[in-house]
Amino acid sequence: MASVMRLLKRELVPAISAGIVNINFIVPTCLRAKHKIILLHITRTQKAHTNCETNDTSVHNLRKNTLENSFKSKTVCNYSESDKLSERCSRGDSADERGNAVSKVLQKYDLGNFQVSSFPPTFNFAAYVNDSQSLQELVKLGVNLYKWERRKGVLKFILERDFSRDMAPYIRFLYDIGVPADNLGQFLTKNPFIFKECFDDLNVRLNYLESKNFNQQMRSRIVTTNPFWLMFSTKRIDNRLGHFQETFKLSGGDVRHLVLKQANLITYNMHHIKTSTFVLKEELGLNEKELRALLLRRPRLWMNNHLRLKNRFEYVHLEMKLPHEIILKNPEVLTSREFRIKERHLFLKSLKRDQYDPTMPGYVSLKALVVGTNAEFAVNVAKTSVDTFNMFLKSL
Amino acid sequence: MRYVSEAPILWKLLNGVICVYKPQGMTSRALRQTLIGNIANDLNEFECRPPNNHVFSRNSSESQVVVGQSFADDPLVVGPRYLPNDVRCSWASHVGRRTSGVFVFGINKGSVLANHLRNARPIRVYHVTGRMGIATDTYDTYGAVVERSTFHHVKRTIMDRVLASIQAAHQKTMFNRMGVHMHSQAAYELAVKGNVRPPDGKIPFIYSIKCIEFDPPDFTIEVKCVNEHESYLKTLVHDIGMKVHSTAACSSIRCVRYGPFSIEHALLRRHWHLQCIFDNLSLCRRILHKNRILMCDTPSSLIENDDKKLLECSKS
Repeated sequence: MASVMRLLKRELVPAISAGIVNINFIVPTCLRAKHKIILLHITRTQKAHTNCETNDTSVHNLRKNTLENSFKSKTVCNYSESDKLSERCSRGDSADERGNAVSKVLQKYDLGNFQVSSFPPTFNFAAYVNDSQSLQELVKLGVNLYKWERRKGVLKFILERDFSRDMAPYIRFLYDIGVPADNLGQFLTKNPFIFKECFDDLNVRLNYLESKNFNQQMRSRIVTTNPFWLMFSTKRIDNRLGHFQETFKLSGGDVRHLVLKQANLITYNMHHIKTSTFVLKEELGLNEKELRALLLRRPRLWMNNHLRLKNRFEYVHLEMKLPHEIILKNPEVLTSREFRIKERHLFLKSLKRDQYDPTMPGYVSLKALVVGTNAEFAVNVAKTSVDTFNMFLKSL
Repeated sequence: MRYVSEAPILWKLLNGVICVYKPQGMTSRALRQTLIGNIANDLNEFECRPPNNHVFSRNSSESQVVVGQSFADDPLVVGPRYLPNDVRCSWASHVGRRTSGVFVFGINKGSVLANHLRNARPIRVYHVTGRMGIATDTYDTYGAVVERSTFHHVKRTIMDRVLASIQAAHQKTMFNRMGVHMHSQAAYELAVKGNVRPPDGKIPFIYSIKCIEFDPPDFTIEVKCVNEHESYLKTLVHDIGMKVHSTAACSSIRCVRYGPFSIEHALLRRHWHLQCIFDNLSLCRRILHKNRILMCDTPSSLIENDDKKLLECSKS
């Protein structure tokens, strides 16, 4: 970036003062303030553009007109020599000559995203995307640009980068390590800051996984399911894997199983995970062995909202009066929403079918209680019709 | 019957009133948010508007100009075509968190209709369940118990007597508020016109209250009223508890009828998606058209019941 700024200062400013160039450069606001460089706003009429047809001659004329308009229109300039500049610019050089000069300058110093454009500083990509080849390539990859706008700093970060120079090597790298082509857009939507990492670091992080006996398939699965994995330094990842191994007394194979089952858990907020462990252990009263079994079967529970998890567990344990063993044998019940368990349990209760003990006749497994649609549940588990279940739901 | 797959046509047709079944424990605001979120998601899955055209200049030489789809108008760049907040959605009357049952929403142009419906002050019917023997700080069974009492002396006849006295007291107040004496000719003429309508939307009025289930300590009463709110019904149960020389807390409030809309018209939580919402919109339109006498102040165009005309309007 700094080199581009230097180029702008050294080469372009003299060109402008000599009256060859008078254009708008879209420069991120923060950069403008920092480097005190030129910013010329020209309000070009967009009407001429939209009415344009594919007819070659008319396009030629219109294009000429718009170019002339853009050079004739009023300029606002932050540069100290602005008055002199505009005077010089209004001299009688033909518009075409100047247009060629601009493109020559741009071609000479690969200016990346700094395209000739009339857009004012903006908060979204939509203003730039039709003029920027880099952004268009990202759209073709399937990146949700509008999702980037919500995140702080991404707009500036991406606009400073050129696709073929700064992004393509990373995309090639991701593809090579096994991120499927149709997942690349999703990957980059979630983690645009991958372009910031240096390749040596990324390779070291992959080698770390290899050293921990994750094969090629496993590594590509981890990186695909958790786009943030490669952002974490080897030391941090090692600490986190160590935390899980020590807290739950996991074997090496168990840790690999956990990582493959829920790669997001490893890079999740550590405070949240520790609190979840506390809630499950102290508030819900699970012992070490039960915790380990639960972690390996439903690691997603550790990322859930604590209060909701607790309410759900308490409903099953205290209201439905089910012991820990039955709940832990069917951990699906802890991942489904409370109202779902409640509605279905009350329905079974009204039919006197709420029998969750496997040793007794008329057994209904907790898994059968929560999986499937309402229609499937009503017919297969409650042995009634959907309409009866709907009527019951309207009596709650 | 006609199949429509274009989102803009669906959007233009998405006007009117719908009636949903509000689950207990969900706030009105959360319900609204879920509903408009579902509508926006479903609309985006239909055929949306393609991006606008844009003139691209591929090279610096001027003759190479191409017209193509604008990237600036691509859903990947500007976001989905329909967002939850694009849907105007307002409830006909606010329902509290602990209340379940019929809940009427106006969608897009129907939000005006929802407003008219509120101003028409339709009679609401509630099934309120109370539990005797406890009194809580919030008047419902979710609060902390502040008092316990016996309830074995309460019989069905005592309950009925108390409820009848409440109903009589309310009827008397109604005539008083209208400014007529109970024993006058004016009161008679007011009464023969039908239910006495309250002059404003402030004070709750009970038209009828009766016990429909009595199984101590639980009892269920059916309340037909206007201008009520959740805390009013809770305190009503508390007062009944006091009047039968015991205490009572409210365990559930279920709205079974809102003016012309009753519980069989209401959409359950799993039916809150576009297809069911459209079915419900036309059902509610038919119901409102049938009961247009209720909405005497409403412009007739709002309660139009002609599906064909609506479809033509949306196409033009």
